Amino acid sequence: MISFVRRVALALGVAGAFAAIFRVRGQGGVPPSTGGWKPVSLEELDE
Amino acid sequence: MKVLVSGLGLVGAYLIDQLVDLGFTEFIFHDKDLKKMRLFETKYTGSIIVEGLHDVTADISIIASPANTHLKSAKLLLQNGSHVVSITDSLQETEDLLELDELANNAGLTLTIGAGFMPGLSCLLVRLACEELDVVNNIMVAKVGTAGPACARQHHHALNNVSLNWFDDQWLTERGGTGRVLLWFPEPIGAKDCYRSALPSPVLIRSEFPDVARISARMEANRRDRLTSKLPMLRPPHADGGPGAIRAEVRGSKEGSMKTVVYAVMDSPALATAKLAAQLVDGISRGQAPLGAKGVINWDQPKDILRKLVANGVVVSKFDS
Repeated sequence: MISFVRRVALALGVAGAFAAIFRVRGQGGVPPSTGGWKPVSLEELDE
Repeated sequence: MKVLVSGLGLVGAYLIDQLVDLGFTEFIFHDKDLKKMRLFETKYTGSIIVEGLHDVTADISIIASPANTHLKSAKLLLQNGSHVVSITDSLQETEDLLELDELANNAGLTLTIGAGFMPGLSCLLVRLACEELDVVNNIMVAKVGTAGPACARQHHHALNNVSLNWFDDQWLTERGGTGRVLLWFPEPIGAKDCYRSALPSPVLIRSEFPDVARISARMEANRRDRLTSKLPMLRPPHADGGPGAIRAEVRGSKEGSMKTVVYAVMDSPALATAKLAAQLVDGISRGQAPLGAKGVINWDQPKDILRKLVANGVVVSKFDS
């Protein structure tokens, strides 16, 4: 039983370590800090 | 003018209403579900239903049936002398339909391929963005959301199949579900992780922009989608997979300076597809369609089509930085 608990703890620990590495090293996009979406009007499409 | 609508799913139903708004009154309905056809026949006075396409004599036909059922129908309808609009979003089927170019050209007919949310509306956004640049180097389109259940099944299929993107003068085939890019769409969609998938957009876009070095397409997927993409769909798809969004990002130069132009649309994919397909039918009825097997991207005057769509409630947005 103790061996089983130890294995589960080890598995969770390893999974946590991997998750932490991916979270720190993952290459997420950089959110735009300026600007935004602007609806295009019919007049703009006439240009 | 007789219009055949083949496939009476979510898009087909919206499409008929859009065509009625544009003044079309003579309809022929075709679907594998006879009961559904009878309902539409009752709703639209004067319409007729057909169980097969062999002897159909329509002026313009729209194929809105599930992807990968369009090739046989399109061939038959072209042979019967009808212009055809296909809303397929299958890569393989798009390539097969493009091979009907000679048949359509010889008959003096148009076969418009990929008249949907993406490809389709996204192609018009690409044309709009490219008009703002002197030199175009890179085009990337992406989508979020699906129309009806058949579209959701095709979405699932695309994620599990090989993508085809144009990269530095060659076609690159890569596994679907790879190549994550975080892309921003108009609210309420916001930021989504998008991946390579078996999408037909690069093939169609390249037919209009053969000199652009890189053309790619991405599709939104979450972890569950990617994990289960190799399995059959585990639960029935939603009746409507909207709201969704598309975006077209074009990079190049203007007067010697590097510039990026991004256009997007946030809408119900099914309704936006229906609005676009109805406008294309209207364009064909006015003789404005290019002959042969072409994508929406090859149509002349893309701004005219977009203008009509905006007037009909489609909100086109530009990322203003």
